[in-house]
Amino acid sequence: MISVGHDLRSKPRSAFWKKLCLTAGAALLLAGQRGGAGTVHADYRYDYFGNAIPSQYSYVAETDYNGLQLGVGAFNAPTDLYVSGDNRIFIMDAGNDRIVVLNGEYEAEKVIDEFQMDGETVSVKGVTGIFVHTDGLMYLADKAAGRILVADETGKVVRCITRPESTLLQENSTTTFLPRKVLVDSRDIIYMLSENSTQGAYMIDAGGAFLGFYGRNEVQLTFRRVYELAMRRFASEEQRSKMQNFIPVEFTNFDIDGQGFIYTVTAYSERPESDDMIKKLNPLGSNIYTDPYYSWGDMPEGNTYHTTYTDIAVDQEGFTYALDAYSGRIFWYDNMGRQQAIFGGSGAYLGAFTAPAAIDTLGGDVLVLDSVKNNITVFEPTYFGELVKRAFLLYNGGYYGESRELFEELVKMDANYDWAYVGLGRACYEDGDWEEAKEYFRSGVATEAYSEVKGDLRNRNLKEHFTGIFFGILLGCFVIIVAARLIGAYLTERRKAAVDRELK
Amino acid sequence: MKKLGYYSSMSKYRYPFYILLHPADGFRELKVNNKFSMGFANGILALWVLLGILDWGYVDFDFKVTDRQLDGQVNIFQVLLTTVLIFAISVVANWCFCTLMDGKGRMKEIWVAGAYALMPYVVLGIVRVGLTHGMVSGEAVYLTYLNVVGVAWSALLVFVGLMEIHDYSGPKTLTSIFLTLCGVMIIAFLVVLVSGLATQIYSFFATIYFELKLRYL
Repeated sequence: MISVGHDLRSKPRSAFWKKLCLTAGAALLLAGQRGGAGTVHADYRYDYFGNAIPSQYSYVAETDYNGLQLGVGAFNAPTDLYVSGDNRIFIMDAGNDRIVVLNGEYEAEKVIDEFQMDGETVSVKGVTGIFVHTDGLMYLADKAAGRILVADETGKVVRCITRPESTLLQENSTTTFLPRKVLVDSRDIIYMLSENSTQGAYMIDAGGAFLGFYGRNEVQLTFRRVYELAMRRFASEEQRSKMQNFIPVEFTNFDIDGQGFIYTVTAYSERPESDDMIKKLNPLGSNIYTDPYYSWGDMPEGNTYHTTYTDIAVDQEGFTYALDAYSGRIFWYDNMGRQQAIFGGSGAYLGAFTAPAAIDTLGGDVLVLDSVKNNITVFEPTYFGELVKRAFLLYNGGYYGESRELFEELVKMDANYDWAYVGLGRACYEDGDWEEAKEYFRSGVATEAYSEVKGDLRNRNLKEHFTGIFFGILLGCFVIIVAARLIGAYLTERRKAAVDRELK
Repeated sequence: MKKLGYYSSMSKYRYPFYILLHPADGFRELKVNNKFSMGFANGILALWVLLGILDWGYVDFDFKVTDRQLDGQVNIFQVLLTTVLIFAISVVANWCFCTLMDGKGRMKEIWVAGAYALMPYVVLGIVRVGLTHGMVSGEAVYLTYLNVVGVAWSALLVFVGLMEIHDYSGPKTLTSIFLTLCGVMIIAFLVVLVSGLATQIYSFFATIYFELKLRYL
């Protein structure tokens, strides 16, 4: 078994912004040539050394739709977007107190603007998260009212979940009940992210009982924090109250895939290269994205820019798309968490965002909701993006031989694509072309894999040429010993002769 | 004394190898009977430079750990700086301090003894670089051992060598080594200072020259 660990010992580089500017410049040129089709910013990705490297376009913004184009009236500060299992798009148009439903062809299907609970009209203006369950019920996280509304598509609220009574949920500053985002798994358990709560997601079962907290971020112990903890001991009460608290950062958002894994994003991290800004949580709530090669978000550049994730979407194939609210960039990872591309950007153009609020996928497309531009942008994969998807699906599924041609084409199209080299190396390895595999692993800076192929090659050569090597070594030793003896004897003779001469 | 007489018949090119295993006797005789070869010592230093180059640019890919190695662009001046130049400065610093501390060693002897003492480190280092091409990263620990052996052996030889060359006791040798390290730092500081000042003086005169040239020529 050969591992393709890619231990990304990344570190911030000063060359980063320079590169990015170059990238952006190249992008503008390209955008001009393309007639301005949705690519204002160049795609890029990080290489092994943590440098931002321009890449081929994987996703291109094809169109955007605002409320007027859809014939439902302009959106007003929409807060969330959800694509249901039957490919219908639910837009939480909170400013207009309504939900707009589109079909898979981006045509308005329904506008739900009246919600009834026990005969009374309720407002959904404070709803910040929407989830549509497989049974067709909409789960609305009403942050303003501190409740979760469960409504059907006629606008009838069939259930209202407020703060559950439980000994597990003591009232304190970290256990607020201000639902921000909500999702439901196949067992009808509701997961809810509450504003200002650092305890992780709240789990509430179908009967409304509180089951416990699910996943949570942890405070990483760094030298700085150890130092601050030490200083805290000597600080006065007043000084202490002004010091930074050691509270983990809350999850910003989450999504659930078909197998029940929950993907979470965290807005802020001091060290995106080592912190888990994106997590894939198993049913126990522990993170399974733990390999050292993961790198979430952009490399930090001083205090000027930090990736600020606001939403994450996972498609049917397991590819994840994380949305950065600050820069408007979308970070694309494959189903093993390898960074494949970074696209999007901030601006007023097609394919750039002012206040990106939510992201989801529909078929192969990526939809991004902007709450200031009041529209949804549709990204479609390019030929290159499709190729990446197919190649890595085959690769991660173990079909290495089948993925070889795809990887060869990827490498041809984008020669700086580390992961493609690693994939190609693996495919070559499985085909028995070990020499080639070694070189591709070198190109992909996969040291571990390179080393293992080298070991296999060595063992194969040893096996094939065992007799030759064995007798070669024997002969070599013999020759060396004899030669050393002869030379030694000669030198001693000469020395003796010299001494004799001197004595005479 | 009989022993010394016997070994004094040994060729001076074979002699460094005898020192490897008999440092006390060897270095003593190196001093007493002038049993040293400047050429051999400089050969070892040349090998050290070679090791610096190999270790930077020619370790096999899976043993490259530093960014410098992965980058692969060998800077020969940097190699010289970290090998021969540091060696020369150390020898000068050691000579300066030991002359003041009743050391019996001459500069030449210190130079040769230092170079001879480096032989295990240099040779094992080159062997190590060669072995990276046949070993896998799981076996890296053996190469680390090899390196540790080389460094420890050389350190021991340096210690014994200086002790014998200067006719010191053990503690005094340690003191002199410590002072030598301080001396190296002082010399490095002075070099930086002088080069900085020289640059400024140069630029001062250059400015005057260009000013005159632009005005009158």
